[in-house]
Amino acid sequence: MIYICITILVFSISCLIHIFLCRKVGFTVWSFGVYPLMLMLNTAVTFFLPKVSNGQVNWWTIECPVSSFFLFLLLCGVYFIFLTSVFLADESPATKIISQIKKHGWLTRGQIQGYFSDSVLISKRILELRRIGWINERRGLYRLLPKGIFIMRFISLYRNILAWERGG
Amino acid sequence: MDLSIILNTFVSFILFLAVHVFVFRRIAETMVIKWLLYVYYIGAVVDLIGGFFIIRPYSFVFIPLSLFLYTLLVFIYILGIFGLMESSIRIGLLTKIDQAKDHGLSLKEILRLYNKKIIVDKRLERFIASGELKYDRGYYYVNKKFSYFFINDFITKTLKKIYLK
Repeated sequence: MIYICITILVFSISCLIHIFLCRKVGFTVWSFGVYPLMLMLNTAVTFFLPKVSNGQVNWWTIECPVSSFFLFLLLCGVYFIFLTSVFLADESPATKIISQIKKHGWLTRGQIQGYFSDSVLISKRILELRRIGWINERRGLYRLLPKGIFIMRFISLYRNILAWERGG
Repeated sequence: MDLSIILNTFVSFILFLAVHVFVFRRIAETMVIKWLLYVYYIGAVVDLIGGFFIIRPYSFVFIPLSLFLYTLLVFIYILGIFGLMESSIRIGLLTKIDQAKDHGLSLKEILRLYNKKIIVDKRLERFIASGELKYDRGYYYVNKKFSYFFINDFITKTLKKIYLK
C-alpha cells in the first residue's frame, strides 16, 4: 500500500506544480510536461524502493509497482478530461440545464431553451471546426475537409459497433 | 499479486465494454444514462468476484484498489469517448455536414436540422428517462440530491478558480 500512497502523493505534487505553472505563465501545452516527468519519478521511486525481506512483508509493504504505474496514468487521464472541459470547451448544455433548474427550483422547457442561443451552441462551434480545419465554407456551403472526413470515419465505425445513428 | 490486480481490472473493463456494446445495440436513446450505470455495476461485481479469487494475499486492501482502477478506466471511457460521441455538439455538426455529402450545407440548413431546441429537448428527454429530472405539469424539477452533473459542475468550477488567477 505504500506504493499506492507514494503514487497519490506524487500525483498531487504534479497537480500543484502544474497549477503553479499555469498561474505563472498561462495554460500552455508544454506545462503538461510536468506529468510525464513526475510519472518517470514515480516509476523510479516505486521500482527502486528498498525491498523488504519475506518475513516483514505485510499489506503495507507488499510491492505493487505496476498497479502504481497504472494508477498514475489513469489519474492523469481523468484529470486531463476535466481540465480539457474547463479550458478548451464551453460549459456543457447538460450541466447548464441541471445547474439552472437546481438554481431556480423549477423551469419550463421554454425557460430552459432561453438560456441557450444558436449563435453560442452552433455558430461558434462551426467557426471552431473551420479554425481547426475539419470543415470549410465555400459560397455559403459547409463541407468536410480531409481531417473531418477522417474523424467521421472513426465516428461511423464506433456508431456501427453500437448500431447507432445518433449523437450530439 | 501486482499483476493479478491489473489483470482483474482489465478483464472487468473488457467485460464492461462487451456488455456495453451488447446492451446499447438494443436500448432506446433515452435510456443511455441509466444503462451506463447498470453496465458499470455489472463490471464492478465481476471485478469484486474476480478479485476475491485471484488477488491474494491482502485481498481486503487490493480488491478495492482493483475496483478503483476499473472505475477510473470506465470514467475515462465514458467521458473521453462515449460522452464525446453521444453528446458532443461538434460531433453532431460534423455528422450533419457529412450527411449532406458533396452538396454541403448552408448555415441556415444546419440550423434547421440542428439547433438549440433540438439540443435542449434531447437532453431533457435523457434526464427524464434516467431520473435526473422529473417533469410535472409543464415544469422540470431536479429529482436527485446527488447527481454526477452536480459533481462535474463543482469540479469544473473549482478547477477554474484554482487555475485562473
